[in-house]
Amino acid sequence: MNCNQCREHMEAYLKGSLAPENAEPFERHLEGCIGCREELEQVRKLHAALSAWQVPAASPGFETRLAARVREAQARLGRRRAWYAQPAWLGAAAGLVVAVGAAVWWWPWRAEVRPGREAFEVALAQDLDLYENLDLLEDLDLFEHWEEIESVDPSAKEPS
Amino acid sequence: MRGPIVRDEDIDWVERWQAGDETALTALVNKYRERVRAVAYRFLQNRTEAEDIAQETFIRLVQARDRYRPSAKFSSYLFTIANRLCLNALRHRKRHPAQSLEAPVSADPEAPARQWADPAAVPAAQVLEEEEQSLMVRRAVDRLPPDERMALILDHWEDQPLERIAEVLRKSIPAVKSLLFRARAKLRISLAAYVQK
Repeated sequence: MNCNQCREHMEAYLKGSLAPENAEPFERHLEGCIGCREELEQVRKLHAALSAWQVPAASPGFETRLAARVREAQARLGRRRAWYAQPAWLGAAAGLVVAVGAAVWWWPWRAEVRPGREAFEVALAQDLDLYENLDLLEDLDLFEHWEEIESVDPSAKEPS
Repeated sequence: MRGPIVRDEDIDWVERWQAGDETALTALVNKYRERVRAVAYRFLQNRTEAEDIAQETFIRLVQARDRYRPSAKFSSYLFTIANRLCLNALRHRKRHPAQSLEAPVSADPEAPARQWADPAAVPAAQVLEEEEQSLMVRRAVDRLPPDERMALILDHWEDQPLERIAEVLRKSIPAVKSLLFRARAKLRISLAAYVQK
């Protein structure tokens, strides 16, 4: 064992957790190395200084308060689970899904019924100079009214 | 951090609790209450905040009851929650720097050590020296960056192995070794008066 390996094991040695296969070479190295013995002494002092730092006792009633809060959290969790398990809640959730679906289906903003949508897309394609990349845009499914857009002559774009 | 499931005795308690046995939760709380509080105290050096964090840690545990799947040792899971709450508390302190009645030692360098073993058992001069040393240790630990501080707390006082510390801090084992090396090197400088005499 060399000095670096010896120093790596010092904390474990002080904690008594040095693996048995390392203990013997570690101690043999220490016997012959004054530098590592001095280093170990400093590590031991630091270890002792840290170990002497005690945590103060908890404030009075801490355990009771903690137990009460944990019980409260547990009860809240139980109530939430019971609520989610209610058939009435499931019925309401299903009804909500159906209602939202119906609203989306009939919503007047839907592209098919939105007045002026074709003109809007054509104008957008003109403004943004998108004609060169129509194939790519079609793949991206950004527009719905391809026939109208493709029927426009790009050269007819008004100068800005 | 996700690895094979590590089976430890606490997992049996967790499974009993998840199956509806509330006494199992009480057993876990009783087993870890003081350890979580101690970790939070050494990190924040404020008794009130440490107790709040201990409470909040177990509340978070309760809230996660149905989601919790043991992919690490249970103690690592608890310390992970506690570590995040401690970091949140540090961030809160930075945003609200008003001094509390029980401020950390770095903010109150003249404050006497607030906790110590029964002083009646040792001579007065030794008590003073030990109190001074304790204060220096607390200041030195308080000056460490959060990751180094938590790594040191889990290693030295909680005696957690490197792989558990790595789980808590979400770092690799070599990174944890590096954190511990740096933390101890800084402490040896800060506490040179005690380490080198």
